[in-house]
Amino acid sequence: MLGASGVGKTSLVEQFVRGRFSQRYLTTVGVRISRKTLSDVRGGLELILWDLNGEDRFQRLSPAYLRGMAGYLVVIDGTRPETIATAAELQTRTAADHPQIPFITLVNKKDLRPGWSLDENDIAQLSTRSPHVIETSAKTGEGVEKAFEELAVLALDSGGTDE
Amino acid sequence: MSGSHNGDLPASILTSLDVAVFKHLGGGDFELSGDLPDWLADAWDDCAANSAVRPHERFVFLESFLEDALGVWSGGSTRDWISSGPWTEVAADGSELTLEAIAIAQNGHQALMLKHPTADYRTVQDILQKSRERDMAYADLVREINKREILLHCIIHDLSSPLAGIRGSLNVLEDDKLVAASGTRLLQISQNQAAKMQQLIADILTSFRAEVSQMVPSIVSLDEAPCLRIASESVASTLRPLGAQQNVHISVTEDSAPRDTARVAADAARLERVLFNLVDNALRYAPAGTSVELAVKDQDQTVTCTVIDSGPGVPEDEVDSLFERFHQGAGKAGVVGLGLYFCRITAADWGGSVSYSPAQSGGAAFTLELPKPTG
Ligand SMILES: Nc1nc2c(ncn2[C@@H]2O[C@H](COP(=O)(O)OP(=O)(O)OP(=O)(O)O)[C@@H](O)[C@H]2O)c(=O)[nH]1
Ligand SMILES: [Mg+2]
Repeated sequence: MLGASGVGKTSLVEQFVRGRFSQRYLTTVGVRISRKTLSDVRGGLELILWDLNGEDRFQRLSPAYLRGMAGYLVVIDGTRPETIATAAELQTRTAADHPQIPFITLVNKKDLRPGWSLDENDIAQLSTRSPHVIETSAKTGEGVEKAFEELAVLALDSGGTDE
Repeated sequence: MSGSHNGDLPASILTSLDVAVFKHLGGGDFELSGDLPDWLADAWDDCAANSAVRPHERFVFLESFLEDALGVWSGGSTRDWISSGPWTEVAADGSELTLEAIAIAQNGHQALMLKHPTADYRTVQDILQKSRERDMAYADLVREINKREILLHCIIHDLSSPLAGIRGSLNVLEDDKLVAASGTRLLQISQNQAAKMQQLIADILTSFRAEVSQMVPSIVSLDEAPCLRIASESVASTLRPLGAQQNVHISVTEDSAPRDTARVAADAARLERVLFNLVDNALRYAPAGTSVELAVKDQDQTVTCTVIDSGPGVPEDEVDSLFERFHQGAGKAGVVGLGLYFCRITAADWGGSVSYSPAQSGGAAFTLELPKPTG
C-alpha cells in the first residue's frame, strides 16, 4: 500500500481483512503486515499485505520495504488533490526499481464524494497515467474487495515477484 | 580476536534486557541464545531452543531485512549493526505485535536480536501523529476557504449586477430630468447610497482576496511567469487520450512569434487548470471525427489562447449566462457547473479575461486573454 499519509491505506487493509472501519486516525510508523486468504481467486491464495508508512515531508518511504512484492496499490485521497502528486512520485520511483510489477491506483474516500475536490478532469488525467483506477471507500467497503482481488489477479498473471 | 573469545552473554542478562537473541548459523538458519521472552513466545510457539530456527519464516518482514543484515554480517557494510526500524505484525484475531530487529556483527559473531521498539518509537509515533493531523486539518481549512472564495465571488456578483442596474436607472432619472424638483434630494441620496454600497462590495472583495492570496501563494516574478504556449501544449497532451477515446483530435497551433514572448502573468498550476477546463468543455461538445484546436497568439500587450471546437456552438439565449456559476449547457450531463465561472474569475484575478464568440466553423470559440508580465 503506497501513498501520502492519511489517504486511508491502513483503513483499506482493515476493511478488506476484517471488514471494519474506524474514524480514528492512527498513523502508521514503519510497516504493518496483515494476511488474508482469498479462497475464490484461482483456486485460493494467501495475500501478505504490507501497509507502509505514508510519505510526506516528515517521513519518506524506504525502498527496502518494496523488495519481493508481487503488486502494489497506490492510494489517493479524493478529498485532497495534493495527494495525487505524492502518488505519482511514489509510483514513478517504484516503477523505476520494479518495472514489471503491476499496480492499481485507488481513489479513496468515495463516501465523501459530494465534498471531493477531484473532479472528472482529475480522474480522467489519472487514467492516462495509470492503467487501472478504482474508486473506493474504506468506510462503506465499496470497491475494496474488487481492488485487492483485481491486483491479485494482475500479480498472478504477470508471474509473481521480481526476485 | 574471534574464536578465542566467548562472546555469549549469560542468559540472565538477556532475560533482564527482555530481548531475544539468535546466533546466525549461516544459510538463513539461526539458533536461539537463552530463553525466548514471554511476549515473543506467545506469538511464536514453535521456536525451540537448541535447534535451528528460521525467524524469517515466522515473520515475513525479516525476509527483506535479512538481505541488509547479510551485508553487515559479511563485513560488506561499514557499520557493525543495523536496525530494521519498527514493524507491526497483525495476527488473524486482529491483535498486534510491534517489533524491531537488529543485526549485529561483533568479534566474528553474527547475531540477530528481536525486541520491542525502543521508547523512542512511541515518541516518534506521537510526533508524527500530531504533525500529520495538523497537516490534514490545514488542508481542510484551505479547501474550506477556497470554497468560500468561490461562494463569495458568486454573492458579490449577484449583489453587484442588480446594483449596477439601480445606479443606471437612477442616473437616467437624473439625466432625463424625470424627477420633480421636490424629489431631487431623495434622488441624490439614493445615488449616494448606491455608490457607497458598490464601494463596500468592492472593499470586501479586495480584502478577501488579499487574505486568500496570503494563504495560497499566487503569482509571479518574471522568470516564474508561465508560457501560455507551453501550458497549452501540456494540457493538450494530457487530454489527448481522453479525446482519442471519443475520436476527437486535439491540436495546438501558434503564430510564428519567438518562443519566449508568450509568457503571461499567471500562476502555472491554475493556468493549466483554466486551459484544462476550456479544452475539457470543448471535448464535451465536439462530435466524433472532428478536432479541437488551441490557437495561441501573441498580441501586443497580451497573449491569447482560443479553444475552438466544431460542436453546435452555444445557443444565442445562453451566451449571456455562459460564465455564471451554475450554468449548465442544455441537455448535457455532467458537472460543468463552476467550470467556466472558475475560468472567468481566475482570469479576471490576473487582469485578463475569458470570452465566447461563435467559431467560423459554426462551433464554439473560447478565448483566454492574459496580460504579459511586467517588470
Ligand atoms: N470517510 C472516510 N474516511 C476514511 C476513509 N479511509 C480512511 N479514512 C479516514 O482517514 C484517516 C486516515 O486513515 P488511515 O487509514 O490511517 O490512513 P493511512 O494512509 O494509513 O495513513 P498513514 O499511515 O499516516 O500513512 C482516518 O481518520 C480514517 O478514518 C474512507 O474511505 N472514507
Ligand atoms: Mg496507515
